[in-house]
Amino acid sequence: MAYSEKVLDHFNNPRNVGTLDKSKKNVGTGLVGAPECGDVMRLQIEVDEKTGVIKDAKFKTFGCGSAIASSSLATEWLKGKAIDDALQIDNMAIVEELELPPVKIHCSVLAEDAIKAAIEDYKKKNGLE
Amino acid sequence: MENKQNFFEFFGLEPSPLLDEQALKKKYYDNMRAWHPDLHTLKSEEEQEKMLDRSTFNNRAFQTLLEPDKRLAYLLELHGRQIEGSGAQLPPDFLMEMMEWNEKLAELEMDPHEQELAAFRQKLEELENQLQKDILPVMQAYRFHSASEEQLDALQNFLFKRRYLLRIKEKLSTFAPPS
Repeated sequence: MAYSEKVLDHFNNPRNVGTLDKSKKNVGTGLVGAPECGDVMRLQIEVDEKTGVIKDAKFKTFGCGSAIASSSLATEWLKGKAIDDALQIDNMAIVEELELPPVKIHCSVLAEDAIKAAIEDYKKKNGLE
Repeated sequence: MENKQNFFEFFGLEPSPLLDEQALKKKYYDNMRAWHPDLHTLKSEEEQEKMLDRSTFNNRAFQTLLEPDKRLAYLLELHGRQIEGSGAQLPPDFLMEMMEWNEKLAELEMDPHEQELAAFRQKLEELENQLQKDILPVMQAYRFHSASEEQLDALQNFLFKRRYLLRIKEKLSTFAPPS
């Protein structure tokens, strides 16, 4: 199966790979997995507590090229967004942007799950739920 | 008509994650001998087609049941558990552990240390054995018609954990062999 150029670009030059200090109160961490293929994805956001805007986002993904590209793209989109706007990011937007084939849609779902998990973690830590 | 049967029924075996492999092999070979297309070349076309269908089903059923992970996945599907593309989640501490394993693996890939690699392989094997040991009582207690949701959850989690370990092992096998 051929990867789209955009997937290859994110795969070869992933944006925002790394770790944020998860002990910090304004850092939210989402850890999700796709057990059927053994993928694991960690996505973290650092939020400006005053404005509620995501000022940094990092990810680390072990999985196929599409899973890596999906999480890389997700971190790009997250930066500069208010957390409530970030919650609106839909996996189909990732599918369209990366031109993922149907068999790889679950990779984008994983990225969406990771975004939601990270935001939920941030909200929980800050009593925003 | 066989195609309506599940693979266990097809071989006349009790559906279970633990199977008598000898019994399975015996039935498979008996079927193969009876239905192999080469043995029916003089029969009518319709008859030949039927034999071919049965042989094909026999092969597919055998291959699925022989391999323990495939057998378990198939069994869980009989219980209505979706295995492929299920989006089922594993406990966070297990995911955390797999993250750490993968990180270590990536480190070793960049900078392969003979001793560390050996230690990694050993730990992986230990984890695999532990998983196997933990699930055995569940597999032994399992009965097709009275399986509880808890038992099915445990079996499903076991299968997913095996997939993670398998992935790590596959990756590990692409490393240069110890010189």
